[in-house]
Amino acid sequence: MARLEKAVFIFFGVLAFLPLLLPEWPYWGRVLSSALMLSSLALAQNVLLGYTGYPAFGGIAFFGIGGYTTAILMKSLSIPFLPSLLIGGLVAGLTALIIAPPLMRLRSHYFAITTLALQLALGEVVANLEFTGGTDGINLPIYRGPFEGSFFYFLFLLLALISFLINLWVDRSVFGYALKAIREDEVAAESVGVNTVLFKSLSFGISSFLTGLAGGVYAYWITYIDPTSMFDPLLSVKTFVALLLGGVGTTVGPLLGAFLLEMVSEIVWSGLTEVHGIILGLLIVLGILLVPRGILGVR
Amino acid sequence: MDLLLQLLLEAILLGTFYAFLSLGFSLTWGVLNILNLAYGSLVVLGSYLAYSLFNAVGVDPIVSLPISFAVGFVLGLLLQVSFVNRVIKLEPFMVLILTFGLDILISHTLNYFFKADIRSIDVPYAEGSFIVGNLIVSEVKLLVFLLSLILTALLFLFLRFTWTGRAIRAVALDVEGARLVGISPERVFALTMGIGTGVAFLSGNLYGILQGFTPFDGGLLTVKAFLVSVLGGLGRVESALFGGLLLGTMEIFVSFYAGESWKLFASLVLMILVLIFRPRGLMGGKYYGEA
Repeated sequence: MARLEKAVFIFFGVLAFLPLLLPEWPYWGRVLSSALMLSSLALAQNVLLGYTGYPAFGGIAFFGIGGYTTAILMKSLSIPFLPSLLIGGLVAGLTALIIAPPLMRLRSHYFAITTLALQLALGEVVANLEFTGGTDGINLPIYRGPFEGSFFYFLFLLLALISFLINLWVDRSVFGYALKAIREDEVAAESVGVNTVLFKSLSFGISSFLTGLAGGVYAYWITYIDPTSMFDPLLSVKTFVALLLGGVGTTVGPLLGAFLLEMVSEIVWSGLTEVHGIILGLLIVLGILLVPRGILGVR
Repeated sequence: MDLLLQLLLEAILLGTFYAFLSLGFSLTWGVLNILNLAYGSLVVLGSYLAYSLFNAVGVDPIVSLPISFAVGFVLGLLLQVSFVNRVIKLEPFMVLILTFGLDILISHTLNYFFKADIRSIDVPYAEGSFIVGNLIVSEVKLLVFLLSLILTALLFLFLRFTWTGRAIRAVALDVEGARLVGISPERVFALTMGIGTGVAFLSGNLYGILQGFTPFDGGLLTVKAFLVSVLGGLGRVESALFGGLLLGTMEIFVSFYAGESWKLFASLVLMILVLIFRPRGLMGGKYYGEA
């Protein structure tokens, strides 16, 4: 195992003890939870874009599906959180699996923009329907129970760890080789016997399952969701910036990019809400112009 | 029956504006293979330019049309030189994200200076409406319709009959072939980006006359430009008219029968379906060069 990947496991180990060590935990807990959530999203997208070569620019559609499913199950059917969360992730993953075969006939920026349209369209549906709370959104109860101050931090930590392990597995397994073959040349992959439709659909499904789980944890963490926050194009952009900054198609890159982006944004301009959007826009433009291959990128 | 005719009239007036709006977007898409997600924000930038010229200097919003085009043209050239030339060799979706970054940058900068209030340009000579038979015609909508039609015709004539227009179509069809007959693709790319952004600014000028606007209208306008382009197909100016009328009709009828809040949803679903099942558009060829 590469040295950087071992370092990541040590990093996760350190993160697990931080709630006991860091002063001002509520503040740092919130910042680190955001960073871990973005890491999960970037790692999930990496399975699809990094290894399979399909950029789901509107992948946050599945964040919304996961979040809304979790919230509706908890609120309307009074199902406990953890089963709701799991069902939310599964619904997101299965939705992706079902729509993948027709959707993944498109490539590159056509695939990207179609998924983005899907994300925006879902946001519109949710805003127009009754049982999703319409534009008013859904309120969830505040979590009470063990680890009250760091429950969601540990959930995000676990999710990021799982996402990282899945990336490690994809990077080295036969399944991953099939995905990489599709990324390099889909026709050639098909001709040597890779069932491309099946494999790229599975890749989309796994990626969306993880994204859906992140959406579910986020919904309960933030306790209030509405169509604008759950299907936010800015979150799609942040995921892609984190991924591109760290390095697409590497196991450690997405994690590095997410933490870098979240920490820098927290420390440098958390106070400057007026110009937050301007700086984010500039960062994206400059990032793509200056480090188009990412920090750890090889391709 | 009267109601149906009234809705159709609205659809034609609006659809023609959408057709012109989409031309800058589809031109850079067809020639440079760039899906410019900042297009809508460039349109809104044009609205604020016309608004500022009108309110601060008192320039009539029709007189400001040439100024809008000139400013947009220069901005387009600058964009081409500073960004696009450097990233065009990358994956197309990287350019997509770059333009999305640009969109965020423009809309938030506008929001910083103008705040999110709804602005509008009030033309004193086109405020009312008149009645033809049983139809009510709004003067502002008629004015924007006529201007859109004239500008669309001008762009059509330019692409069809001037040597520069032919060079643009030639590059769209085959970059290497164009190079062989002595056309410089780099200059054509820059020119196309200039004209595309100029058209965006012109549409923004018209959009400001047509209705109120905010810094964050850009995303919606990009979706519209994209839809018209995919509905009609990237081929010709005529297919943009077809796509524009189709989108206008759909928007007017969905708003009327299902409610304003379903309008965007209907557009997006249509966009997804066309992309998946008919990526070349409902009519028209793939490139501007195909006659």
